[in-house]
Amino acid sequence: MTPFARLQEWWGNTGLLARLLWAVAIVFALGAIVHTHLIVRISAQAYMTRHIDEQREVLEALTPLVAEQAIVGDYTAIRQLLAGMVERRADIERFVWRDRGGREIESQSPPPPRRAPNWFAAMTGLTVLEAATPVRLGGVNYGSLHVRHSPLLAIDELWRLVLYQSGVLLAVTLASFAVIAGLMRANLRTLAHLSAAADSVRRGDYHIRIAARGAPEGRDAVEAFNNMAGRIEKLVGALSDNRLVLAEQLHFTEALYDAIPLPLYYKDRDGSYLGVNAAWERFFGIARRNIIGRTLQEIYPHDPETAALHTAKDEELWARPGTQSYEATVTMRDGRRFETMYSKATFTHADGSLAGLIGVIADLTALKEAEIIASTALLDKVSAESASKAKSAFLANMSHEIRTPLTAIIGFSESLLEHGQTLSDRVDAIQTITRSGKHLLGVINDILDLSKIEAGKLEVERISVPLMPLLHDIKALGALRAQEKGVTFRIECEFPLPKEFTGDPLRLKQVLINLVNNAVKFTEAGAVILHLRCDPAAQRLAFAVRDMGIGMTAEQVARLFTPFTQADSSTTRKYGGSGLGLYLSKELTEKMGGSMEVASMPGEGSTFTVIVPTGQLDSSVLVHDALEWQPSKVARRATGGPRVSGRVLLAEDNADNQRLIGLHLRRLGADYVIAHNGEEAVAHAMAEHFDLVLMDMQMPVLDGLDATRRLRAKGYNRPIVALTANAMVEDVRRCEEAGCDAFLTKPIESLRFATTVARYLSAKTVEPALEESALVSTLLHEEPELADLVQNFIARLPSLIEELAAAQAAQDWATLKARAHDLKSVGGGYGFAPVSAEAAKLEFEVVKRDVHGVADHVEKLRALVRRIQRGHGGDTPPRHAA
Amino acid sequence: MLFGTRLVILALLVGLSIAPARADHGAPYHFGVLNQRSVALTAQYWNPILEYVSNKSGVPLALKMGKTAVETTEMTVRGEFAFAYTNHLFTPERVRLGYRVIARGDAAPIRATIIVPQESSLQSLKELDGKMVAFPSREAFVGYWVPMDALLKANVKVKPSFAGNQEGAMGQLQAGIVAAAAVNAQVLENYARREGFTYRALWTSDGYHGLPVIANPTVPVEKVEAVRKALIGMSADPEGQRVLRAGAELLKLKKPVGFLRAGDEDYANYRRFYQTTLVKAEHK
Repeated sequence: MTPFARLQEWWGNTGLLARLLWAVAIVFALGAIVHTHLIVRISAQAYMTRHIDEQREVLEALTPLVAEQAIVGDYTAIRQLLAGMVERRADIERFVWRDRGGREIESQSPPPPRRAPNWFAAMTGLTVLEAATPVRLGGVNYGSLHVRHSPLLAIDELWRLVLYQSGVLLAVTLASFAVIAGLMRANLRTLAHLSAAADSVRRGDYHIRIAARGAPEGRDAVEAFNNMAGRIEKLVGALSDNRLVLAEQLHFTEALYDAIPLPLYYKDRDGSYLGVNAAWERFFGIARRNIIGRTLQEIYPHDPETAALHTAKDEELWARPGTQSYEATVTMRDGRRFETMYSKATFTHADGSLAGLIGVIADLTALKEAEIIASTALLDKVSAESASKAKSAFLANMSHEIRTPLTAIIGFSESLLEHGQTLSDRVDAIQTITRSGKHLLGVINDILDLSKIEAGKLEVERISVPLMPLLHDIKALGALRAQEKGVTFRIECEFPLPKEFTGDPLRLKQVLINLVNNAVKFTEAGAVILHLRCDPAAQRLAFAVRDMGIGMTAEQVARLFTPFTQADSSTTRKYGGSGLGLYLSKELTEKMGGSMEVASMPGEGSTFTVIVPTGQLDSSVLVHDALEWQPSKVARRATGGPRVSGRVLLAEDNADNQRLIGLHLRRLGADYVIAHNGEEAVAHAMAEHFDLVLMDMQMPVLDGLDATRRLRAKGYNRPIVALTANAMVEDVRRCEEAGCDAFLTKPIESLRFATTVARYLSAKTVEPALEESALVSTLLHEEPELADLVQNFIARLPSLIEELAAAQAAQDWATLKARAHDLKSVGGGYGFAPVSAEAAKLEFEVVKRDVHGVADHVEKLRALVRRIQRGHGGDTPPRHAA
Repeated sequence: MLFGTRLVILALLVGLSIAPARADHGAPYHFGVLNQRSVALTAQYWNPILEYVSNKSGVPLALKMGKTAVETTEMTVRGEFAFAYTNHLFTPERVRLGYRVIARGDAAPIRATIIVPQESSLQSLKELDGKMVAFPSREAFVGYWVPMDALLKANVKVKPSFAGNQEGAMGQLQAGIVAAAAVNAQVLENYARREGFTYRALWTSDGYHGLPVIANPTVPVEKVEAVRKALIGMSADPEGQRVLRAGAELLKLKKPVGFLRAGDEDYANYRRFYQTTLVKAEHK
């Protein structure tokens, strides 16, 4: 510790009285030193001055006396004179008279005893003082007189003065000490009382007061303290009340903040958090003690972008104080994301300066989700309403679709019962009834599939599917429709392709035929192409059906797979259909584990792609070019319509069905025996040889299932194909379980019936492939015996066309309408639906009086006639091997 | 009287046997001045004059005098001075010492006067009878011999108080120690002017030339002549005039007092007075 530090410490521990006494002592000492020094110096100076003056005066006084004695030569008198002076003047140490001849007369006093110490003598600065003066009278120098002053007397005198003054000063100092100590003790007692009282106040005793004594300043201090204590007592009382109120208010405010269910926070001007509420803590998962005094960046160390967003927003608010709202996505540290709305407002100090901001965070996540749900619900509702409307429209449509063919069926059926009907009329009626019945069957099948899907009962098979027969079936059906429409249908294969794959052949065919039919339906000219491609690695088989039709907009595509709707309501009116086909196709595809995609542009046609799983593909089953295809007899039959030989047992209790199925069997070339119930069937089967048993499931005596089981139980191993109106998968499974080899639904679809039956019977002939460009009467497939009628119709066609052309040239609208109507009416009846359709269009153009439209359609009819003629080999109808 | 005679004889013997005015070769000639003023004032006045004369005459002169007029006269009588400025050597017995007058001050004749202070009640010499009268010295011619002679001849007996010199006597009068003072009227006038002293004269004598410069008969004639020439020539010499003016200012004289050529004949009235005076007879 340095001396100065020790001095500071000592001074710090020294009491006020001691400090005062020390101060007085030091001041007195310094004053004494300075005073003494000044006195000594001044006195010494005065002594010097006085001695010099005295010397001068002595010399001046003595010089004439000595001069006179010198003039008269009385040296004795001079010696006496000098001795007398030395004797009288104790301060004069020595006198010397030195005449001009060098003779000296000296008079000297003994040195006085010295009392003052040497240092004091040195301090005075007094020294021996010598002076001399020449003694001259009238220009004659008689000699010189020398005088020497000793400082000793002066020093001793000063020393005595200093001692005296020091004594006085010491006495004064001691007296001052006594007086100051006495006075200070009395007043320090007041200070001690003040200190004790202040300590009491510090401990909370605000009632303490002090009696005023001592000096006025002390009394003033005591009075000031008492006043202060009184004021403190009042203030503390008031403060205590205020604190209670304030604490209550603070608690209320905090409770209010915490009661607010929304996260709330408030920050100062520097962006440091001043406080948050409980909801904030819960929301961010941060305790308020961990965020108060910190900044926004510390909430979002993991999300600097969000931190930057809020910081920028805060800066905007600082720049324009007021309120602010914005939505922001908040990402928590655990990765949870919340959709929030920040509402902020600035607040100010009492002086109006900007103090900070308060913010409320509204968690919109649930709201957003609810909004999405509501939106979805709204969409669902709209969809439901739309669906409802669609269903209503569907029902109306179905009603129309069902009622129309039914009306036709009933009407034409009744007309057949009438007498006097010509053969042509009867054929026309029968064709109409058949067509209407098929249409009705399609509608009902669709409805049944829809109901299955909606009931969740639609199931698909996973069996081995030979690709080639599937394609032949599709080709046959597609080509047929395409011919009717006058467009081309072809299948393009992108090898390699599997010979077989695992899937549901019926459903896949249903889907593809539906797509092909659709494509044909919406294609007015050009081609419909089924493009086939396989991805063995992905085990996917893609069927792309491309048309050159009207195409669709994106909105139309979006609605495409909604049940009961079509691309446009006008589509239904224009093209017909239940609006279920695509929906069912997509559902079926997805049921098969596949997917359906559509690509379409308005005016450029559409492409529907069905991708289905193939199951495990062995390289051995892949076909790498068309030559590897081995056309099967089934395929051949399918191409031109099967012709088989064999004996069939038809177990059917219903007479109409017996006739209808019998007809189909006869067309196929098969013989058949009818059993009216299950028992008969078992008996016949066990008794005779049949290549195939067609077993109706619902029969009296013994139903088809039991009969099949019984046959299988009896070791019957010939093919049994189930016939049932119950087209559910469960029914199929039950049939299979019972021992059926295949499954046919009623009403009988002739092609499917033929294909299925042909699998189990021996083939007779192979039909030549039809030219795609030729148009063949469909009636001939169904009713070959009506070939003559068809041929006659074909023979009349050129003259009809010419008649139309002449009427068109003459703008004979009546003839045009009459002939167009005739063609429309009979074209379809002879198996030439495109002729009817085109005639209907012509009739429409005639009604519109559209000359160009009429000419166009007359030419189209002329083209159709050429195709018919080509399809029928001029006037020669096709012949089937018996 | 016998003592005085012996002194004169002794002085003559000493003066004849040795050269008392000049102790040895190279030493200055002593110039004695009768104590009319204090020794110091005398020296202040005479030293410049003597230095001038020494320089002019080539005769080194040095002032020498006794403490009192008596002492100085005795020293003169003893022949201690080569030159002297005194009129105490005209008594019959001192005339025989051989001193001769060579010059005198260029001043009006001196007169003896008996004065009282202006406020004194004394109106005549008669009233001085029995009173103390201050005299410069017993040897003072106009300060004692002449006035005492007049008092004696007027049959007035006073108690003499010898103040030592002229101004001493006037000082006693001014201090009230004496009732009257007998002094040189010229000295009195200068003193009164200088000191502001007012007085009233009860009696004043006839005029006598002021003190002469006399030469010791032992001093060579050429030296004496040189000195006399220098003294007389002072008033005509600028330097001498300056010295004289300074002396006049020192003594507060109205005008500088130079020196005129004089001889023993100019002081014959002195000798006659001494021959007839009652004082002399009384003191002897």
